[in-house]
Amino acid sequence: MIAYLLFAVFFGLLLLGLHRKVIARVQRRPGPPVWQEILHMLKFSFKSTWVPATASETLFVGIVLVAIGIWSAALFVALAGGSLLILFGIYMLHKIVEHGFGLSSGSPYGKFGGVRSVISAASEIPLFASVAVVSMVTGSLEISDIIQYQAVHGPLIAALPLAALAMYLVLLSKMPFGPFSIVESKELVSGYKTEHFGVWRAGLEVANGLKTYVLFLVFLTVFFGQLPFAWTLAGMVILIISLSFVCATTPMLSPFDSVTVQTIITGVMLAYAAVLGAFA
Amino acid sequence: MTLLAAVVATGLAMVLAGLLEQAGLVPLWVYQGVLVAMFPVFALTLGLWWMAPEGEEDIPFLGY
Repeated sequence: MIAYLLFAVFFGLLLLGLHRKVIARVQRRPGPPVWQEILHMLKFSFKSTWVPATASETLFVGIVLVAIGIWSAALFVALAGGSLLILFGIYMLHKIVEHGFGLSSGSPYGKFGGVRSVISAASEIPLFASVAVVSMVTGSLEISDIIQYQAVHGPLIAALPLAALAMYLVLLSKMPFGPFSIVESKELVSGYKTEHFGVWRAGLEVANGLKTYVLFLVFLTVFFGQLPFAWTLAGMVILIISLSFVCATTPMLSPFDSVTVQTIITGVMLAYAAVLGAFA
Repeated sequence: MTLLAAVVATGLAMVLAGLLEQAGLVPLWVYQGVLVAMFPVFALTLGLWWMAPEGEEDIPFLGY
């Protein structure tokens, strides 16, 4: 289990490195090596580290522990075939984590990033709508039940393509350099993580690796069923490459436009759920 | 020294929980709970123990 946890951290970071590489190649830049994010984590691990004078010491440090802890828990819930509601809760906790990162530092850039993380909570609404549709069709929120349903009826991506698209947009909103990445946009330096440097940033990188792995794992499991391990990893690579193409070719939206677009997507998903319910 | 002790203690706790789970002495969720609680502390204290001391050059990394 601990080996799997470490694997998830490193593979998640490798996916984020691949993300940067593909974006760079699409934009005709050489880009960093695909293992760049792993190097970042290792590099930050032995940088000289302290707590800024303006920071709330307890929150500044504690929030890093929480970030790693919640995504470790999410990994175990996903692997155990637990409830999507628990994963929802963890996903919501991540909002609080981003907020805590930003507000704990005392930096205006971090604070704005933290505030934007609350605004970007609109990105979670398509997730609710997507999972509501999945629950209506399969009759359960347990991942293990959803896997069983797909073993009998085939992958949900064929039956519920719009729900898959909505969840894909949730993944997109969590990707760096994407159209919805308003929490760490460049006008805020690095947004909520601006002041977390050294070991604190290394911890954040660990959490980011885990988060990426878990979100992709859940997407593949919910819409494609129980895949062999190698196929799961291949699916994650295909997912990150497709997301990278979107990120490389779309500008970052303003916070207002980001929320508007995500709200429209939610409206479409609710209408889709109503239609499915009417014909069920 | 305190940091190294924390690294060793959290690392040992995770390994011990894994061994106990494999032996069937504790359920899987207890092992997972130990990992969720200990892994973040292990990762941070490992970095803090490893980090370059203030006033000296950073350690160059082969990847750069």
